[in-house]
Order: sequence, then structure tokens, then C-alpha cells
Amino acid sequence: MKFASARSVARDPKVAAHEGYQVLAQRLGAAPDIIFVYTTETYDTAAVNGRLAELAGGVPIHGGTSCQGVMTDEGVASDQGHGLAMMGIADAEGAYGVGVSEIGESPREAARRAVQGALSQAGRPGQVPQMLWLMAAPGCEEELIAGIQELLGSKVPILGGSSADNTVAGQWKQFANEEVFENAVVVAAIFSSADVDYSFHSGYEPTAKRGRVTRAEGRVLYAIDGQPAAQVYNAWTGGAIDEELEQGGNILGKTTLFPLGREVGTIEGTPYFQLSHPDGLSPQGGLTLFSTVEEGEELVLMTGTVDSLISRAGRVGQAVRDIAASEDKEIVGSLVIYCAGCMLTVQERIDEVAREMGEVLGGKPYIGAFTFGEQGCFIGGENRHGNLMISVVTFLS
Amino acid sequence: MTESETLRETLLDLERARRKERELRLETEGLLRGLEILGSITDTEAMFAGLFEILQELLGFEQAFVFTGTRVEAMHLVATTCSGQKALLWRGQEVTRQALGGEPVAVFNTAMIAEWRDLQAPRSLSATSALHIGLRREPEPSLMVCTHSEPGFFSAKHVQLARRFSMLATQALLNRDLRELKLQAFERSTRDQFFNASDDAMCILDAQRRLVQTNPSMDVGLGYEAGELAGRSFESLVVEEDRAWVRAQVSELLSGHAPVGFDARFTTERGDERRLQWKMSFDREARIIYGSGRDITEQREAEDALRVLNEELRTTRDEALQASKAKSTFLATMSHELRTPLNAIMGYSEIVLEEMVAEGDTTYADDLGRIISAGKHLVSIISNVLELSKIEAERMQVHPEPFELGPLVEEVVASVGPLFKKNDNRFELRLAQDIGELVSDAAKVRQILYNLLSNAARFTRRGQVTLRVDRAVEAGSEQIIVCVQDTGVGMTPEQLEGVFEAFSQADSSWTRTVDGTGLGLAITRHLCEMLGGEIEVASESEVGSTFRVRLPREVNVVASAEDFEQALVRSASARKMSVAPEREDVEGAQGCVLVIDDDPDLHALMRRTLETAGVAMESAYNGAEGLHLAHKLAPRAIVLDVSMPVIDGWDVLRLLRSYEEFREIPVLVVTMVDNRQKALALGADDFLLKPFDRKALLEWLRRAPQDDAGGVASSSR
Repeated sequence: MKFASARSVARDPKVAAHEGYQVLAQRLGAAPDIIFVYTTETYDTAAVNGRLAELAGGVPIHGGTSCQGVMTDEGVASDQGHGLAMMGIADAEGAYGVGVSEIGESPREAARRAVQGALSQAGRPGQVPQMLWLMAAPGCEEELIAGIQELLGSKVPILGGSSADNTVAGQWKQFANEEVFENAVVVAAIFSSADVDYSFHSGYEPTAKRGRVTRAEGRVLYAIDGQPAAQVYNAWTGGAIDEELEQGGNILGKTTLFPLGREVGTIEGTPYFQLSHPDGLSPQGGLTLFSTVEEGEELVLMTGTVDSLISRAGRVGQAVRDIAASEDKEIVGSLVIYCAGCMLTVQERIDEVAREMGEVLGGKPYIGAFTFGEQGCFIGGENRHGNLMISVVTFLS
Repeated sequence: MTESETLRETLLDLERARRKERELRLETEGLLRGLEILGSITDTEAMFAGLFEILQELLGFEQAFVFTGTRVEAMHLVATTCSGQKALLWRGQEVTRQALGGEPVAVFNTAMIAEWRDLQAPRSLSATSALHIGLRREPEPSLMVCTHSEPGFFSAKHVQLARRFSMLATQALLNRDLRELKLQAFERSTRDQFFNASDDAMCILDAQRRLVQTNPSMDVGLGYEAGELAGRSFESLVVEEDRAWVRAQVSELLSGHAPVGFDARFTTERGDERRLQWKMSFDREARIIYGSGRDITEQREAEDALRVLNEELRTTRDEALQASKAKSTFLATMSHELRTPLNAIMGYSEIVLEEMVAEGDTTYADDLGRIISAGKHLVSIISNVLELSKIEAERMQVHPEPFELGPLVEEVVASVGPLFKKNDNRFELRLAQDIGELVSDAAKVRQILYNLLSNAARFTRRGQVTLRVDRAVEAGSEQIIVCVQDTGVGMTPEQLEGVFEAFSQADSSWTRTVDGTGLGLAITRHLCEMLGGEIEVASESEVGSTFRVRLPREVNVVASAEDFEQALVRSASARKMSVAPEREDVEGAQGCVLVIDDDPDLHALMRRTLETAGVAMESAYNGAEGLHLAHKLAPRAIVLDVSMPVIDGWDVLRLLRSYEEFREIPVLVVTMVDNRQKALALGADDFLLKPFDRKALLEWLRRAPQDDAGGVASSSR
């Protein structure tokens, strides 16, 4: 089993695809069995995928758009918000398939169809995959996860990220084989010959500020403890969004270090959290989020720092590395999803994230996308969609 | 980054690592235990039971199955946790091949899997999700299937664990196979040694009855080179006539469970035939037949020869028996035919002589005396010939009973006394004082003594005859020694050689001058031997002879119930005789004597005899008439023949003894059938053989009781 990554910042989509694939093939020394590809929205993604599919000749392709750049073991590839990265896996003993479905009216059904398609392409219909790697349009990831679990049960790790664009303008895309979608769920079914390890971390710390959701509708949080959610949040954060409360506007950048957390479970008394990132204000004093909340859920104000957002990638990588060592195995490659919000928060220091990740993975190939929502599997086995998270899958051999 | 943040995240990472490590440890321990079971337990059922228990802890399945078979497409259930589930056919396809290839397969919905769609699983088996683990691909594919009713129960973690187990299990089973192979190799080596050392033909056949291996004895025995028979059909070696039989036997072996045994003829390379006796058993697991064949050609030929010989011997024996029977029949007939006229000749001669003497006419007295003497001699010959015949036919039995020897000796001496006087011999008896009791056949002892004494009396003239009877201990037991010494003519060494043979009197000239049948000593020797003793003789011509008889004090014969009964009868008769009141004469006797006999001559003779003695007589000519007259006349005594029409004498005797009114009437059996013992056993009071001794008849009548309350009289000859 072999992993290889490649990247390109070439402006021409076909050239970028060609460059990337050439390097990939060269580094693999063989034709890949699956390709993961992430590009910025600035590419003619149809051209990229078309060319890539042409070059790969029927190999499953999974991917989508990433916010303002991509990263690999060679660092962040972003030339003024323009970049492309791909990861190839050559694994003759494994099986891989990619399935896609337009989300449409029933996200759950779409998710199931996508999974079935992926299993079918892998030649393993009915079989439980090692894990599923997701790329979906933002908006109903929770439903997608629920749909998948209805089909496979809750024990298959579901990881991945939501496609993103550079300016949160809805220009995100999802790639499945040679096709490109705008509102689809793309699933890669992975049956690798290597073991996989995964982690889903936030890098945030809970505060004492807590309240219960008393009114919510989908991804709009209207009230906490009976009070307008925006006011409550502003109070908890010491007026972080005072200005927007008065004037309106996007609060994405101001809330990144203060997401709302929901306790998913505890390990030896230590809770772990699923995060929701407020990105705007609703006319009724509510907060719009990148994830769904339910009435009755307890919200905890989380807090983080730029440093923690930078260091967490390395810490997650280190934890995986430690586990690999304990099992007398080596990391052979990784797939990384890093929250675009965090990336935007750390700004130019994102290179540190990429570098630190590269170091802890021992220079092994990895590919990372900056997404508008992250899916992962917590330590207790819970598959969740969250925001401001980092989701890492590591292949150990 | 705050301190608490770092701490919390670190704790989570540590806990995650700890969980991983714990899971790994538990899995490893479980796997090791599983492998130990796989490697160490030889019993398949126990092995899988142990394995199921451990894997159930690790994988959490609800049911588990193990399928195996020669083909992936048709694997049979060999073990399961599902009680009562015995027969399931697993038609392996893609998932099975994948699992057997070392990659366990978890299925979240079995309905989507071809194997499960083909599986005729019972409704009770709720297997929505399943985990398929290849245990081995070769030599026979073996698959473990774990199931759970919850959809998607099995995950990548299970697969990962199962993969480790599968790898290790394959290795463990391989090691197990290697051990078994080594063991088999050892067993094969041992078997080969026996194989090669055996003198019997040995071979191994496959299920198609082809020879896989033959031992040197089989190769050589059938005339082939080593290894030349391999691959040939076993039946092709069998001669054509026996081939169907052999085929049937081997078919029975293959279809049944028990070993078979058969023999058949085989054609050797040289073309001759050998008969081999085979025993064959079938190893159902290995699908091979073990055969061991013993060459019984010579044995069978010898048996055939023996069978022919036996047949000939049987024929000869049958012929001999037939001849013996004919001889007995002849002798019996001769006895009867001779005795009947002799009875008349002697009886009437005696009557005529007595009447002539009574009238003072002695003109023909000597002639009549000679007629009577010759008749007696003839009777004696007939009796002895019959007796010897019975002895030689081993029909004569020994009837041991305790008796005092002294009185018996004196009785015999008394009876032989006239013979001593006749030849003017002196006689001396030396009877040991404490001679005591003897347990033997009194009649035979009596006959031995009589024969020896009468022999000495006849071959000695004006000489001395001495009888010594002593006790002695010989060969560790008490013996009676009887010596009869005479000063008679003696014998030459040549004459001594055949002295105990029949019809071999020392000097044939004596037969003209001396009474004797020439059978006495032969009979005496036989009687001695029958009583467990012996007889020997020392003699010198013109000086005399000494016969020495040794008889055990207690004869060792296992008596039959019948013998015992007869002995009791004789004993009782003897006791009654001793207390029976004697009568002075028969003239004064009350009532008549009823004679029951079919021979009119006998009636005439009997009437002359009895009426001369003053005894009234009534005649009955068959058994029925006899019984009628017995009832009508209530005779004082009955003289009864045996061979009669209508009802024979034995049945008459039985009836007489079974009715109260006849029970006390004395019965004397007078017949030509020499079976005194039977007569006594049936209740006769005495027995006389025809031609009967008239004096003995009158003597018996004299002694027989004549009152109603009198006991049954008896006497002995």
C-alpha cells in the first residue's frame, strides 16, 4: 500500500490536474486505486475532474472545493486563494469506491444512495467498510450522517468535511469521479489493507457559560434559556458581537474563538464537545450556525486561542503517531480536514499548521482541505457533524 | 492556549491511547487463548466450543458457525453455537473467497450477500449482520461465520480483530496440520515396517478399489515385482469365478461400517491359483481400504484331503457300526434260536433221565447225561459269546455297590465245590481275616472268581487248588489281591502268550477232554479291567498255573442315575433275601404258579417240572392273558417271559408292580433276553436265563413267600 500527494497552483485547470496526476503517479510508482482531490472554487472544477478522470482512467475520484487553499505534506498550496491538491492510494489488496447523490428533498436517502454507490464501485455491496470519507454541500450534514447510519449502523466511522468556497458565497462543489456537483453528498467507501485510526478534535475549552436551547429551528438558534440567543451569546462573550447586534453583518470571524459546544460524551469524567460556529444573526435575535441544534440541548460557551488552533493539528497527529508506535505500526498516509473558520482565524500561520502536521506524521503524505463543517467520529464512537473541528484519518501499516 | 485546555485534550488523548492499548491487550490475550485451543485440542468439537467461547467475548456475536468442505461452493456445517442446527450447506461465493483470502468480511445486511440468499437457514436464525472469517484455505476451506440480529453490528474493529485472528488461526491450523503430518508420517513409517515384515499379503486400496500400496509378501506371493501392482484393480487379480463375490464384499465394506472377511482365489503372474483369506477395513476419513490376506492354499488343500479322509472314515465307521449291529442281531438271533431248542432238549432229557432213574432203568442214563452235559456246554458257549460280545461293544456297565467280600468268596467256592470233587482235587481257601468290604460290581467279582476257580478245577486232576484273597496297598491305594494257584497241566510259554485271547485254550486237545468254551479267561481279563484291575498269570507246563488278580478296593466309576437306582434295587433285594423265611419244600406251598410265555414247549416243560414237584401251574400265552389270569387266580408266583406278542414281558412286569393286588406276588423272569439288571430294576424278584435251570427254578419257588403278607423272595444264581 502506498500513498502519494501532489499539488499544483497552475491556473489552467487541466494543467493543474495533469501536473498533479503526473507527480502522483510518479510518486506512487503505480496507478492509484483512488484519488482524493481538493481545489479552490477558483478552478473550473469540471475541467479539473474531467482531465483527472481522463488521466486516471476510471479510478474512483473523491473530492470537493476547499476554502482559499489546500494543504499537503509539502505545505499549504494557495496562490492568492488558488490551489489544488490530490492524494493517491495504490492498494491492490484494498477496495475503494466513490458514490454520489444529489441531496435533494431527502438528505438521508441521498446519503444512503451515495453509500450504496460507493460500496458497489468498491465491489463490496453489503459489506461494512473500514470507514466512510465524506464530502457534502453544507447545510444538512447531520441528516446525511443519520441516513448513513440507518443503512450501516452506527459503528462505521464517518469522517470528512463540507465543501467550502473562498467567501462563503455558496460556490462550493463536490467531486465524484469525473462529475462535479453543487449540492450533493459524495462518499468514499474505504476497505484498505492497512489499519486506520482517526480523531475528531476541537481544540477548544469549555467555559462556565451554559444555557439550554429553548427555541431552535434547523441551524437557527433563536433562544437560550428563553432569551434571544444572540443577546445571550453576546453576554457570554463579553460583547464580542455588540457591533453586529446593532448594525447586523457576518459574525463568522468574531465567533471563531468562541463557538458553542454541546457535550457529546465523557471519558473518565472529562467531557468532549461538538462545536457549532455562529456565522450570522437572524432577524428575530437568533444566531445562524454551521450546524444544527435541537431544543433542549445544553450549550456551553467554548473558548480557544489562535495558538491552540495551530497546535491542535500537530497534537492530533502526535496522538495518532503514538498509537501507531504502540501497535508497532507506521503511518503511511493521512487525510485531514481542517475547519475553514479556524484557517481564516490563524491566517498566515496556517503554514505552521501544515508544517507541524507534516512533522508529526513523519513526512508521510497527507492531504488537507479547509471546510465549512467537519464530520468525524469521537472517541466514544459517536459520528457527528461539527464546526471548528479538525478531523484526521491516518492509515497505519 | 490555556493550561486547562492542554490538560483536557491531553487527558482525552491519553485515555484514547489507553483504551486502544487495553483493547489490544484483551484482543491479544483472547487471540492467544484461541490459538492455544486451536493448536492443542485435538477433538474438533471441543476445539470449536472453546474457540466460540473466547471469540464470543471478543466479537460479541450472537451465533457462530464453522463450515468446511472440499469445495468452496459446497461447505458443510461442522460446528455451531446454534443448538439443534445440524445441517447447513454454505455455497461459498465472493464473500467467502474474500474471507478465505485472509480478509474478514463484515456484512451490514446479509440480504445483500449472495451466500446468505442461497443459505437455507431456519427462520429462527436471525442473522441480519455477519462477520466472515477465513480459518484456512487449504487443504480444505474452512470458514467461520459470526452473526448478529442487529443491522451493521460488526464494524471495522471487528474486522481488524478478525483479521489478526484469521492470520494466526491459519498458522495455528497449519502447525496443527504439520504435527498431524509428522504423526501420520511416523504412523506410516511404523505401518510400513509391519507392512514389510508381515508374512501375510497386505495392501492399501483407494475408494475406487485400486491398489495404492502392496507389501513384499503380496508381490512375491502373486509373482510380481515390487511396486508392479500399484494402480491395478484389486479385483483384476481375482479369478473370474470369484470376482463378483469379491466385488460384493468390497462394496459392503465401502457402504457399511464394519470390517469384512472373505476368501477368494487369485491368479498369480505365473498363471497358477492361490487362495487368500482377506480381512479388510475402511478408513472413512482417509477414504482408503486396508487389506490383509493370508495364503490358505495349502491349508485349504489339507482341509479338503482331511474332509475326504473323514468322509471315508465316516463311511467305514458306519459300515463297521452296521456290521456290529448285524453281528449283535445275529448273536441275539442265534442265542434265541439255539436256546429255544436247547431248552427243550435239556429239559426233557433231564425229565426222561429222572423218570428212568426213578423207575430203575439206567440203560440210557449215561447217554442222557452226555446230552445234558453237551447242552449245558452249548448254553455256556452261547452265554459267554454273548457276554464277550457285550464287553467288546462296551455295552456292559459297571454297577458298583458295597458288599462284604468274605461271604461272596465262600458262596463262589461252594458253587465250584462239585467241580473240585469231580476231578478229585483238593481245595484250600486262604481268606484274610480282615478282608472286609469291597465297593465294586459284585456280580463281576463273583464271575471272575468263578471263572478262575472253575478253570483251575477243570485243568487239574487229583491235584491241589488254592485260593488266596489278601489286602494290599499298591500305587497308593488299597487293593484286593486274588490268587488262584493249581497244580494242573500248566502252560508252555507259547501257550501263555494267547491265554487271555478268546477261543485260545492252551491246548486244543483239552477242548476234547475238558469242559470249557475257551472264552472264560478272555472274559475274566475284560472284567478285571472294567473294575480297574488287572490279571496276570504265571505257569509252567506240567507243574501248574497261578492266576493273580488285582482289584481296587473301591472301583472308580461314575454311576448314572439309572445305575444308582438299579444298585438300590439290588441292595434292597439282597436285604430282603437275607430276611426271607426259608421253606422246607415247595410241595406244601399254597396256590398255583402262573407261567406267562408264548412258547408252548416251555409250558409243557415247565408243567412237567412244576407238577413233578407238586406245584400247580396255570398257563398264559401272552401278556394280556397273563394279567387277566393273575387277577383271576391270584397265583403264589409268576414265571414271566419277555419276548411275547401283544404285551411284552417288560410291560407286564411294570403293570404287575404298579397295581396293589399284584405288587406282592413274586415274579421270576425266565427269558432269553440277557438283561437281568433291567428285570430287577423293573421289580422282578429274580431272573433265569433260558434254557433255565430247573433246579434253580424249584429252589426259587421254595424260597419264595406264599402267604399274602410275605415279602418278595429273591435269590441269586
